[in-house]
Amino acid sequence: MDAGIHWVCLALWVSFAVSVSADDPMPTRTMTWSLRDEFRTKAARENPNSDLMEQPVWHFLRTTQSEGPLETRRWLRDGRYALLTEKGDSVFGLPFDGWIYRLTPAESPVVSAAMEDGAGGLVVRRGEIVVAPGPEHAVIVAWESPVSGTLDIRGNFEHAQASSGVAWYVERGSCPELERGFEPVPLASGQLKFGTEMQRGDFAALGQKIEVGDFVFFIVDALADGTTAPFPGDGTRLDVTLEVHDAFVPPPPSFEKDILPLLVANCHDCHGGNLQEARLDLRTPAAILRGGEGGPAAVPGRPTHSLLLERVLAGEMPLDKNARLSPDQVQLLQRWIARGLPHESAGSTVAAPLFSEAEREHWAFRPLRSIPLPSSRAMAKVAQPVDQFLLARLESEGMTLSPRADQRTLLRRVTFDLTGLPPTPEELVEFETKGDDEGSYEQMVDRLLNSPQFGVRWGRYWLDVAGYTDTVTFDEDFGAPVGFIEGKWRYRDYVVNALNADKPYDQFLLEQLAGDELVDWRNAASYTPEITEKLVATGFLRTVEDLTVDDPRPFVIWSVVHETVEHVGSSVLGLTLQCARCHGHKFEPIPQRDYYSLMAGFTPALNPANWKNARKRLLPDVSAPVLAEIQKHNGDIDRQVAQFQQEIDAVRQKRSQTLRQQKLLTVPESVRADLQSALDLAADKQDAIQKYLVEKLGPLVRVEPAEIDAALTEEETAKLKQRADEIARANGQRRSHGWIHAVYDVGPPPSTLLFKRGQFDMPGREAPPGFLRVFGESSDLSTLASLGSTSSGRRLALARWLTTADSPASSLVARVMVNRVWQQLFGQGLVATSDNLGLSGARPTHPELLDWLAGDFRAQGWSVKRLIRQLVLSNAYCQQSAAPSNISEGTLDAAKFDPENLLLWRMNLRRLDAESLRDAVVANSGRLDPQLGGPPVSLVYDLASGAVSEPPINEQNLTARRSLFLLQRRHYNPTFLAVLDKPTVTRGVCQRDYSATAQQSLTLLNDRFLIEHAERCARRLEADAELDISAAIEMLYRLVLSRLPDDGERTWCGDFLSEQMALHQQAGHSAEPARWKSLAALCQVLWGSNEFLYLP
Amino acid sequence: MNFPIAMTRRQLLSDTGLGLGTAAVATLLAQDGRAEAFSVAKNLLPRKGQLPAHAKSVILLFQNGGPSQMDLFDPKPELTRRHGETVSIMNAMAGNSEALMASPFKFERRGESGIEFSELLPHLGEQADRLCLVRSMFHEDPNHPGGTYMLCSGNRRPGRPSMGSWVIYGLGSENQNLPAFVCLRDPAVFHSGGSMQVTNGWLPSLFRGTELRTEGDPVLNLKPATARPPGAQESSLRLLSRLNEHHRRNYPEESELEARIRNYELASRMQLAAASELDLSGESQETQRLYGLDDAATASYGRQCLMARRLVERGVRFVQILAPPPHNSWDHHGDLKSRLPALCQKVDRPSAALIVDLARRGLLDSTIVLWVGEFGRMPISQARTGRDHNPHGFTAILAGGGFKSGHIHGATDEFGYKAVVDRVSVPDLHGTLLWQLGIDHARLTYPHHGRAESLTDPDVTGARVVEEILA
Repeated sequence: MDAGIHWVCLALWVSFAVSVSADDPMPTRTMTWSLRDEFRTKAARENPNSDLMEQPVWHFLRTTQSEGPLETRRWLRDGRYALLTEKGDSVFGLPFDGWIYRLTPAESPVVSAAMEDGAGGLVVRRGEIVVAPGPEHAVIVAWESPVSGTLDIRGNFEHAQASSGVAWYVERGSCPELERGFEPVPLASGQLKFGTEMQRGDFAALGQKIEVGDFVFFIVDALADGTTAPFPGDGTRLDVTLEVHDAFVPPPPSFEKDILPLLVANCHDCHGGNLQEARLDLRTPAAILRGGEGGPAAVPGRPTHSLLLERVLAGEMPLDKNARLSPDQVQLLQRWIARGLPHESAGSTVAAPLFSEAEREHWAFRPLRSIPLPSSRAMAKVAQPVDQFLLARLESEGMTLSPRADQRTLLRRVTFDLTGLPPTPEELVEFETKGDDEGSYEQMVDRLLNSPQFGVRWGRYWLDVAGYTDTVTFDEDFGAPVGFIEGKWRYRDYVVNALNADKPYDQFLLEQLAGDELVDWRNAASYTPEITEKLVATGFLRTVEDLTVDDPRPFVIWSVVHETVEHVGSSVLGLTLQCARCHGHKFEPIPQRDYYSLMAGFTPALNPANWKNARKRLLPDVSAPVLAEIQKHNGDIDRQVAQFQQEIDAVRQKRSQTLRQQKLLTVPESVRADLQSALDLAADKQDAIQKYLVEKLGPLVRVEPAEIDAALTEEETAKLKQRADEIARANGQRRSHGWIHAVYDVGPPPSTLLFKRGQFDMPGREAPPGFLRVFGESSDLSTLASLGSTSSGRRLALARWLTTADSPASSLVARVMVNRVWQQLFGQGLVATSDNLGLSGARPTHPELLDWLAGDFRAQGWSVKRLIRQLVLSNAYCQQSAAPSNISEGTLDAAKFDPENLLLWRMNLRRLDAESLRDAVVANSGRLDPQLGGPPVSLVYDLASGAVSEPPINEQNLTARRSLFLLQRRHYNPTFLAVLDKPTVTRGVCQRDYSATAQQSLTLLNDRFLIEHAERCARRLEADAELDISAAIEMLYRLVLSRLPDDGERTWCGDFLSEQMALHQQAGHSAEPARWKSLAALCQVLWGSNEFLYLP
Repeated sequence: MNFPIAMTRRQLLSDTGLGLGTAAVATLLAQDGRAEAFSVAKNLLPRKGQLPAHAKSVILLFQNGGPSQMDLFDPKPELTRRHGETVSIMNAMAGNSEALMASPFKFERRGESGIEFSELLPHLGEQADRLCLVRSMFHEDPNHPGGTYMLCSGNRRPGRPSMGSWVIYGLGSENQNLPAFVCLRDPAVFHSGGSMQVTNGWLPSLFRGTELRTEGDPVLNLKPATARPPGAQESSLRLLSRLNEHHRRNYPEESELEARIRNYELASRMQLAAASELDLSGESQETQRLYGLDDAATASYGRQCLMARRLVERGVRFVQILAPPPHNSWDHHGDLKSRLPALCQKVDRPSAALIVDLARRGLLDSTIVLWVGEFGRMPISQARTGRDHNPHGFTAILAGGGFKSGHIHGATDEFGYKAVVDRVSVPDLHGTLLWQLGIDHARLTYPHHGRAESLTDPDVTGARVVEEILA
């Protein structure tokens, strides 16, 4: 096997700027490069290499293997060396991109290729370059001359002795090539042997003639410790100064002569006259300066800030892999940028704008405008403005709305839609008796909108979108959740309460994005309910999976930040942002810079430079002064308790001593004193003999607590009891507080850098805080009001940008929300992809209706309840779901023309979601506990079957909470709910998927949950009244299906009950259990029926 | 039926395949073609991929914990020669550096291909000429959960759909009486990653892996949780069917209602069929012995392997078997010398039996058997007696399904530390598996949060089909 590829090395390429300006056109002068000075100056920056670089000067390499016997071995010069970079896939001519950040920037940046191998390393600390060759590798620091002239080299190697010695070499040569390696001219060499003293080897090589691109190599190779193989990890410090006399700085490349030809050959196909991909035109220096959607393509004098070079170096451009630029061409480009894009004529191409007309004019990005109500031929069918839009569209196809559903169907439909529960039989009777007028329906709607259960139902939708779970961290193992859940449910309750209170949606968003910036919680003497509420609301930004409690690696921390930004994008803006994490979005007008600008809104709070994991981020739910007060109060109690305990201990101790003295008398007198003194010593103070005594004889004189109890006088017993009572009382007065999963700024806002290819360890240019520019160029967040020292105010600014009426972003925000509400009520959104309203999403079926509703929603105070009311009172919502049986003349067969019902010529039949289904079963069986909020109900896990279930029905669990208040996990939903399509939550769920599987049928037939509830339901019916069979069937139909059985159904169900009772009696049951078991079977059949599972 | 992406939304939503006329409105609204892009299959009916298929089903023998490649199937003489030497390798979890540790086990060339196998795997070694060893697997996550998610879903972060879910999303299942994607495990243990190993992620939940048990009732809720008199359920199903038909008259266009009616029929067939189809007692004595059902050490894993064969024989698309207990079985941080043989004893014979049995029944050609853990182990010791996690180099074993046989692909370095020759990433492996099933990995996508997601995510991972290992 080829030995050369045995070690695929980590490598790192670092290069730094020359310490003098190369812009000076003076042809000759003296120029100096000092390794130590340059690193001292630049290491203080976050990433020295990203600043001031003109072209690579310093290179850090290592050989891939040694050759030859130990004493004589040399590194290979046949090209088998690698860059000391994690990402390195190329060698000379290209600047490094492997600057590695440690966990906090508080530490100085450290480059270490030894991270994984523990050898063959390089450490760069301020002003110090320490290399550590491995047993198999030599390390090479190379200097590449950017000028020609006469070179003087002076420097030294200093070796810190640890385990092995080193050999060092200074050599000069031409540019190495991967295939042929390099042919050096030796200049100096020496050895620093294994020993105990710090050793130093000085070198000087003067008067060397050099040309541009010549190299000087400084090589350190490990030696043996004198016995066996070389040891890795020794540090050898290198310092060197290179002075070039009569330095000639080569003239800058010419745009016309040098640059344009290579751009024409490699770039203009896509970024030229015919096509401007990413709106980038590379035909003139001016157009290059203007750049494309990613920003300017080049920054004069700053090659590392130049996107053009960045893409070329990353191998991303040109796209055609066979058309790579040669290292010489890259060098040219680099030097041209470094020299400030010199050119002879200005050129006159007009650069493409950042966004195309089509993108700016995308229906979802346009500002909302006022839309007149369309006219309809059948105004009688218009109950709400939405009907007018729908009718106008239907009529244009020769169709119309279906007839209104009957009152019972409407009651069932709207009760489930607004509360997630079935109507009670009482409600049904009341509603039926009021007759068939629409006024009673309207009253019913208002009553349901005011029901506290409304918040549970609609809270579920928002929590889906928010990706809420009760867990924070890992939820990967079966069994009890590992995630840390203390107090997280408060956010769930906030959502439920906000919806019940009909908190305006703009305010709802403001609070969730920046509740902490709306109130001065840091300086509050005590928290008002408002402060607590606003802090809890920010739990919205704490819903993504955060594994940093267990795993604080940077990529894990960054993933929390990324996912939070993307979560806001999809939940609030209905846009997919994650593609822009790595590059300009391919489908959406979201340049990569905009992604990071948006991220900069969150980094003051989710601050990677000052990271707080989920546990550390928790806030007490009381203000700082109150917390201090509680701590003081509890401290007082501690002292009090300690004092009482001391008194108790003293009395008992005294008695114990007496008892022991008595017992000591049973020990032979010769050892009695010794034993006593041994016992009086702490175990670690006893010597061997004492230990032996205690071990052997100690048990004989040990006094048990019961013996002390018995020996106490009555008076003492009473006193001790009194003290114990006082302790209990004091402990009872302890005060405690809860916790809030809040988001708030941590430390000063860090600068937010754009990450090349989305990788945190490849930072690029800084992204200023801002908004998505497709909504308008004035997108600078920093111009908005700041809250001063305690908070950056960036999230508040962002939230205002999203919600301020007439801002273009708020138009989209309103459309997204209106569409989601529509989706919940009609089964499918006006835009089918409710998680994506961008260019890659579906188009609205009724664009004018969507915009009218969104405009109305925003203009009328963002009231969600008003919006829902508007929709459920529409004739569109109230029409029947069954296809009309007789098609009147002149109308189209809608079922053929529009089988998917996209134009809403009938109401959609909708599957009950898992939670509603369960809650209906619980409600039917009379177990429903309607209470809202509080800590979640724990689940039960069965390892053998792999099933997750809720606590079984028993004396402690006579009632059951609604599904929303069961523990919400990411991956381990209760099996019953999971089978019925309750989704796993890895990101927000904007749209649920429904399936029809055999496993669902098995569950509906056989699952314990349904069987037990059916039995309870049957017993409840029996207990309710002396029902005859026919009345029982009627009652069951009312409960489960909200209607009365027809004659056929009465007969079938009656026959079924007789059949079941006979079977049960044959199986040995007496009449009474046979009767309720049969009723239970009927109940279960109804729960398994399509009529129950689908909302009519 | 066609491949999902090529189908219209209406066809796809329909479980019945009933002709419903031209969806004129949908066509009108989809003028720009975008609405169609969101059409996806939401059923488990059998369908073909875009490419010719070489295999129909997959059995993934997942070796939780990370088996040691240099002790089982990647012999390293250099490691033996330099035993005790210190090199520049760090233990991934322990964070220390210990000396190189030679394998305490002997290797032997097996079969005509002469592939070397450890003495701990006599039975798998016997099958050397039927196996394709990929010795150059690698990824980046050194921990169990991340490694497991990587192998099972192609990404080190949890929550993406597992391989089995993608496969049944793409191909449905040949058998509508049994779940399409089955997970078998010993009821005593859930390994790291738990049921996330077979999660549907954000694919619709009908693509989730279903757990089957090899003892007792194989399927959850196959029988009523409390006993019923004989005939009672049949009576319930009769009424249910009557009521559903009654209800359906109002909704002749709703194919989903029809699907649900048929699912009750299927469920009741399953109740009858599953128990008998999955009953291993019908297997011959010889077959039971082959899988080691007569030996306490191999009985449990043997039952799972035998069940896997029965399942693919009946058209189940994807079977995933988890390693036997204890938790993360192959995780031998210490005491490798005694623990590795004990575990190999449980796994070796049944794994080999599965290949033999599939072959002699003519099923091996159409079944891909993949034997792999979430990573391999270090060439240096941990606490002197064990080995730490190593994602940089490990071995995957493939058999059947149109893969080369008696073949070795790729290599690790001289110690077995890193994959260096012909490296194969996990997405490469996934893409190759899909290829053999007739699926172009880049084109089996599902829309999620505005992105066309796939198992291999080739734009990001650069996944490619490893043609070198295909026969």
